[in-house]
Amino acid sequence: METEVQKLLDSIADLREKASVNAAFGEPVTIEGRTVIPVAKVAYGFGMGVGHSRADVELGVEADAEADVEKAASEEPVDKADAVGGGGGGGVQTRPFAIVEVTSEGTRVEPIVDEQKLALAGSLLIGWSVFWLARTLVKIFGRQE
Amino acid sequence: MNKQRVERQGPLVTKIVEGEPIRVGARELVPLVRVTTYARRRAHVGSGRLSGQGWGFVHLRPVAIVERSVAGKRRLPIRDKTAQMISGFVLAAIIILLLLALAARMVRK
Repeated sequence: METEVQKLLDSIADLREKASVNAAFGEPVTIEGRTVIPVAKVAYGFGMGVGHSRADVELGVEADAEADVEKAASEEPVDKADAVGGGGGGGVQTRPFAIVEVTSEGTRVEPIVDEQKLALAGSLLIGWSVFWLARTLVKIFGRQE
Repeated sequence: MNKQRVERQGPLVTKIVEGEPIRVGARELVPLVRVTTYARRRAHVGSGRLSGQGWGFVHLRPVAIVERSVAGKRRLPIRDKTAQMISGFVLAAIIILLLLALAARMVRK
């Protein structure tokens, strides 16, 4: 069991070392003399655990009568069952970030804008502004009355 | 082995790593990525008990691409335009709040 625990701990250290840059830059795609390389932001998380406990579990026979008690007493020593458990989980997120375009004229980087996030941020900004403007107007005109 | 420049140490490590060069015609493109990793490992040993656990995350953020050609070497930064625009919104929100607070104070006087 010690070996398994050590392997688990070593694999977690390895995950850090094996983080590959190639995951962020995709395979180049060439179309009509133009080469495009997709670029992404990548994030992944993980967790794992394993445990072992020596449990004294008696797998004996229940004795209802005296005769059974004598019989149970003469049985072979009971087995001891160990408890072992383990689990793990993880997740990956990839977000398109930019495109690198290579043509005969040169190389350029075209960033990718997440319009959904911008729309959400814009809505929050509008709501925030309206709230504070209304509060200020109530303070000003409320005071004047 | 990719070249690395380590910026921070400890359980949280940030480093800028050069990736494998990508050849496109006469040009060679070298990707640069900021790799942030966090990993923790623990083992517990007791009488009759042994357990181990670990957790962590890895974050890869492209930083730039270095173009090497006959004309020379050129570094092209890769910027997060979405994050820049959202930062602009946050700044606008703070400015709006300050302006309204200032206006309320001036009217009070």
